[in-house]
Amino acid sequence: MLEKLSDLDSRWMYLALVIVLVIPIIKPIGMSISVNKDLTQRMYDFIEGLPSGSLIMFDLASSASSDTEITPMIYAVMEHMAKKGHKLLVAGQWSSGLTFWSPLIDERAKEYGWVYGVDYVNIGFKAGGTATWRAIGQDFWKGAMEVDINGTPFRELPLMSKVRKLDAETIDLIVIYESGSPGMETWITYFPTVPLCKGSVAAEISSSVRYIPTGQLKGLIPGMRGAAEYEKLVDRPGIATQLMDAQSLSHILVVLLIALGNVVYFGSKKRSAHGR
Amino acid sequence: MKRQVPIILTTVTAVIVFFSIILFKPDAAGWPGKFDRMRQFMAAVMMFMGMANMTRVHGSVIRKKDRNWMFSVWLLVIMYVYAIFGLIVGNTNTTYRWFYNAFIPPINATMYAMVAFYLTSASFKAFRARTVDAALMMACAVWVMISNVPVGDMLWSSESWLGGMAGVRDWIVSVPNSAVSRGIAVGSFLGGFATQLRIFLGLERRHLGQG
Amino acid sequence: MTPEVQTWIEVIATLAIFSFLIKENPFYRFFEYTVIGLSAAHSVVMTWDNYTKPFWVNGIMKGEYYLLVPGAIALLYYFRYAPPRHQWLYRYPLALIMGYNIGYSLAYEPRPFMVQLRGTFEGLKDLNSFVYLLIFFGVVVYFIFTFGNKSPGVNRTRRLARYAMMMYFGVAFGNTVQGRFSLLLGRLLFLLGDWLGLVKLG
Repeated sequence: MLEKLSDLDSRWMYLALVIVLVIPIIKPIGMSISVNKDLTQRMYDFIEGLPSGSLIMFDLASSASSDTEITPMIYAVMEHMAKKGHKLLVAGQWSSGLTFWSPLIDERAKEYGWVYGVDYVNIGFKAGGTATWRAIGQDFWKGAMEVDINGTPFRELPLMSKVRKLDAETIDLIVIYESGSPGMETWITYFPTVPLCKGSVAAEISSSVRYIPTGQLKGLIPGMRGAAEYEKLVDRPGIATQLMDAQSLSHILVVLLIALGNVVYFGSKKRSAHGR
Repeated sequence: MKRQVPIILTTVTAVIVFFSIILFKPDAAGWPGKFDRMRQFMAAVMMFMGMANMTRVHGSVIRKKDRNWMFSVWLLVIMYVYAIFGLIVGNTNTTYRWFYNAFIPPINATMYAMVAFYLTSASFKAFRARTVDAALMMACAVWVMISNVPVGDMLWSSESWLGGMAGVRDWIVSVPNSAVSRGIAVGSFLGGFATQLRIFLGLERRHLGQG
Repeated sequence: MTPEVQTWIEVIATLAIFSFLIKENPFYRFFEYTVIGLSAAHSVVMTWDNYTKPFWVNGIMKGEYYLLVPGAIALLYYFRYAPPRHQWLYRYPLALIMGYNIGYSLAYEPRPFMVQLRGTFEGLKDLNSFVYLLIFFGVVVYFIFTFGNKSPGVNRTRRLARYAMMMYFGVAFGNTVQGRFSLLLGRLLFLLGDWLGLVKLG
C-alpha cells in the first residue's frame, strides 16, 4: 500500500487540486476572516487618516499574470478612496500591468463618477527605470514627457496643474502593486520622504515586512487574503472574499499531502529497516 | 581603445555623477537633472534592444534548423507584425488592444498558475521532515498555509489567546521571518556594494564582456 | 473581433498552456512562442507611445539638443549584435550607463540599509526586539563566516541562524502556495465564469 502511494502519479494530485478549487467557487461556504493588524489594518488606517481630497499615486509594478491577486486590491483601495474623496494618479514601472489594469481602473472610476483629468489621471508607462522617476521627482511634467497614457498634454488636465514634483508636499501616498523588480526599492531609495504602502503578491510578503517597523512602508496588503481583508474593511466583498473558501480547501489539501508524504516516507523507511 | 577606454569611462562617469549628487541640489535644471535626462534619452534610443535580441537568438535557431525552429519563425513574424501595427496605430487602438487582451494576460497568468500544480505534487514528494531544519521549515509552512485562510480562524479564533492561529503567524512573520529577511538583505547589500566599488575602481571588468 | 471570439481565444490559449501538465506538446509551444513575440512587440509599442515619441516632441524639438550626444552614443549599443570585430563599440554606452548607475547607487543606496540597521538596534525594549536582534546578528554572521572560522561560538550562532532561515523559507513557501493558488483560481474563475457562465464574478 505504502509503495503504491509513494509511486502516485502527480496527475491525480492535479485532479484533486482542481476539484477542491472548483467546488467552493461554484458553491461558496462563506467563512469569515480576521484582519491582519500589523499589515492590512495599518494601510487602511493610513489612508483613512489622510484628509479628504489627498492625492494618492498608484504604481502598477506587476504584469497581468498577477491579476487575481492585484485586481481585488486595486478595487478595494479605490473603494476606500472614493469613500474618502481622494484623488488618484496612476503610473506604472511595468508596461504590461499598466495596459491591463488601466481599463479596469477607468471602469471603476466611471462607477464612482470620477471625471478624468479632474479626479484622476493616468500618466502611462514611463521607460528609463529609476532615472525617469528621479527626473519626474525633480520636474514631474518634463520627466514624464508632459503627456498622459492617451497622449493628452498635461496642460489640458486640471489635476496635473498641482502636480509639479514628486515629493511629500505633492503626493500624499504612493501605493505600489508589486510582483517583482523594479518595484518598491525605487521609492524607498530615491523618495524616502513620500509615504509608501504596498499591495503585495503573496510570494513577496516575507521579504517586504521588514520595512514595516522602520516606517519605510506604512502598510501592506498581503496577497489575496489581504485583499479579502481590505474588502471587509471597506465593506464591499469582491472576488478575493469570494475565493477565500477555495483557498481554504486547497491549503488543507496541501497540508494533507505533506502529512501523507511523510507517513509514506517514514513508513517505508521503517519497513526497510525491519527488512534488513 | 576597445577595453581600457570603457573602463576609464565607467570610473570617470561614476565619479562625476556621484559628486554631482553630493555637491549640487536635486534640481531638474542642474547637473544631476541633466544626467538623468541624458540617461533617460539613452533608454529611449535603446528601446529596440529586446526585439533585436529576440531576432538574433531566434534567427540563429532558424539558421541552424534547431528543435522548434518553425515556432521561432512564427515568433519573429508575429513580433514584427504586431510591433509595426502597434507603432502605426498606437497602443490605445481597439484592434491592437483586442489582440493584447486575447493573448498576453491569459497566457501569462496560466503559465504562472501552473506552478500551483507543481507545488501540490512537491508537497507530497519532497516535503519530508528528515532533519530538525526540514521539520522547522515544514511546521512554519503548514502554520502559515492554514492561518492564511478562513479555516485557520475557525480552528483557533483570532479573538482568543495569543491572537489565535493568525496571531502566532503574525509573530513568526514579523519577528523571525522579518529578522532573517533583514539579515539577508544587509548581506546582499554589502556584496552588491563591494562589487560596485570594484567596478568603480576598475578592478571588475566582467560587465564589459570578453575580448 | 467580437468579445466572444476573444473569450474563445483566451479559453483555447489557457487550455493549451495547461496541456503541458499532461505532457509537452506543439499546441503548448505555439501559444508560448506567440506570447513571447507579442510581449516583446508590446513593450516596444508602449515605450514608443508613452516615452520615446513624446521625449522627441517635447524635449529635443523644444531645444534640448545636447541630448543628441548621449543619444548617438546609445545607438552604439546595437553593435552588440554586429559582426565580432565591431562588437566592442557597444561597450561605450554600456560603460556610461554602468558609471551612471554606480554613481547613483553609491550615493543613494546605503541610506535605506542604514535605516534598516538603525531600526534593528532602536527601541530594544521587549523580548521580541531582542529576539529580532539576535536572529539578525546570527544571519549576518552566517553569511560573513561561510568559509574559514569554525570556532564553537560561530558554529552555534550559524546553527541558530540556520533554524531561523528555515522558518523564513517555510513562511515563504506557505505564502507562495497562497499566491500561486490565487492565480490558478483566477484561471478557473475565468473558465467557469466568463466562458461557461457557471459562476457570477465579484
